[in-house]
Amino acid sequence: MFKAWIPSKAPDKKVPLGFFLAAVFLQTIVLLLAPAQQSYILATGTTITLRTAPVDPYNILQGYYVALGYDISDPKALPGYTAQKDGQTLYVTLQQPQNVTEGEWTAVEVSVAKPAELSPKQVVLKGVLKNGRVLYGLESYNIPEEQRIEINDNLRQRPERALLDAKVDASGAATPLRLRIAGKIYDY
Amino acid sequence: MVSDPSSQLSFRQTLKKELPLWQERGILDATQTQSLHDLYQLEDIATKANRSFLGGISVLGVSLVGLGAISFVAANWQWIPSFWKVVLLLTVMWVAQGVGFYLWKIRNSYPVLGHGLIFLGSLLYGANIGLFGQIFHLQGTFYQAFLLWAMGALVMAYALQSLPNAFLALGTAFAGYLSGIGDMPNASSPGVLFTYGAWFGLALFWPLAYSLRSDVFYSFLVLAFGISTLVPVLQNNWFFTSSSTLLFATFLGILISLWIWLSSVLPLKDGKTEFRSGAKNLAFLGVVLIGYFYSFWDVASQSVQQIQQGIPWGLWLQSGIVLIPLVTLISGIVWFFKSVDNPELKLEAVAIAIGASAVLVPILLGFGTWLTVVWVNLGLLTLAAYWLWLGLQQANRRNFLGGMGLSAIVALSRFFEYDTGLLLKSLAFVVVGGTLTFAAIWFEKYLNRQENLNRENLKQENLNNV
Repeated sequence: MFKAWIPSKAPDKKVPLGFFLAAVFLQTIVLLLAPAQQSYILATGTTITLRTAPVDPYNILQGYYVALGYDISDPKALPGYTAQKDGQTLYVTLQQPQNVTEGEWTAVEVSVAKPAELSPKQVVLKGVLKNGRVLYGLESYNIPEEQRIEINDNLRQRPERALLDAKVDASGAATPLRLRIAGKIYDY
Repeated sequence: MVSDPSSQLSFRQTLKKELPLWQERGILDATQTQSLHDLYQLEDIATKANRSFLGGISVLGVSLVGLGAISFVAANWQWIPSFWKVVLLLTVMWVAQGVGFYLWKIRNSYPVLGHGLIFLGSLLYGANIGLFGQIFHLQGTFYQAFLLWAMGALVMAYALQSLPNAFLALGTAFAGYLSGIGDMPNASSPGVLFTYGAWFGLALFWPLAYSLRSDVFYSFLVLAFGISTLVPVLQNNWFFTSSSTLLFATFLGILISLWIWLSSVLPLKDGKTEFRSGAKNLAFLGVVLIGYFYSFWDVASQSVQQIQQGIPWGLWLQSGIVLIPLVTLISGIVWFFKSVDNPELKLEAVAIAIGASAVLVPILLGFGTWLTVVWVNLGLLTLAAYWLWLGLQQANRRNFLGGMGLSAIVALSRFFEYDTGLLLKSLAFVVVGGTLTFAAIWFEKYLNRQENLNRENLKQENLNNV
């Protein structure tokens, strides 16, 4: 039916080198966006530590990872939270702990607009409300296949001593750095 | 109006087979036979069909072996620093694309292999999206990954006028759109991209279908567009939010597929049965896709849960969307068994019934998850066996490829679904890819043997007649 009303194509002898290179270039740029964004956060960001509570699913596309939840994932636990609609961006102000190496950062305030002023011992973390949880881009940490069982066992036995170190940049975007469970460091 | 000679392969194949007989019987003389030969370019047929079939299979084989290689590297590579991982992944993708382009477009010495490598490059690009996400702990969703993949494949399809890339782009865009719609936090405000997603897709893919001159691609595009426009409408409908959505969609899908199949064998005039292969393929595709969906553990177990909550038959039947196809289907089936006595067609009816019952029987009899999964997988493999048998019986490449493809996909999906190590997955890819390529070559030889045998029989018959 389709062929009936369109002219048949003249053989194309020209080599479409320009088009081909443009396609490869575009694919490469798309792929490099992720490392570029992460490198920017790592280079300019502040290191924070969050207390985490894990679950352990298996994801076909991405291999193995630990799915992580935080005290600050529950919007109702955030100081100053008022009900918001799904998809709302939230800015959580975090306070540095007394003991920087062992303690975790805690939420002191949540707002819809980004806070203009922060004390030197505070950072702002950007999150999005989705299905009653606040997502910060720190909800999963990929781990190698061989380490999976060890990490899961550790997490189950000492759930109260699981911490995640992350970097947060000036805009509030975050990327996970390493997982610490009962003093043992998992850095991939 | 005078039209061009038909370029349809099956017609030309039949004509090529029949011409010697017509000449033998004195219907045509040697000059007329030669004129027909020239008009329909019958000399090209065997080699062209061979090439396109072997081409298709080698693309598939190359892709699977490539995927095997990826899994192998993935199994061993957590100790490589991120920077070198990125360099390695990009280099492999560029090499596949660069060598493919050189062989296909510049030297033009191995166009099929070259095109296969370009396609492999697009698969590697998709794998890279996943792997980059893993290396850099990205928190993206499936639909974002699929849409990015679609974008890359689409650009390549336009740049090189590549049909395999066009199909890859359409498939990933469709998967991305559907999983994105399902992912939306709030179905009533899915955002511009998803509200008008089907139209964006049509605008992006239509010019490609036009410039590729592909009827098949065009049909799939229209099908994807149709489903994509329906989904958001259905999403806010009663059954999409009720507890038996999955069962309802399954039931309706199977019903419509069977109905389409029946409509393709309805008599047109003078009691003659016309075979409309497009509709028929669509019907089988529907049944196979639904069966494939159900062959996954999670889907089957969700279905079992919904059955346990009770199937609201009354509610379903109140809706004309179920009742009309159901009533026409039942009367059609009665007509079919009363008036059709073509054994091939009856066998086909049995085949599509097996496909449909692979899903319907577990639902209607309330099987548990285990039994449902085993039953559905066996149903799919039975259909694959039917196509393999049909391919051998009728010396038909498309059926043989369909049977091989379906069994390969079922096998690979089970490997991916269950918690097996990456090394085992890598092995599975290589074995299935190798088996496919081997089977394709064996089948080509088998076809050649059959053709020779036919020719000799014909000669023998002629001698006997003399």
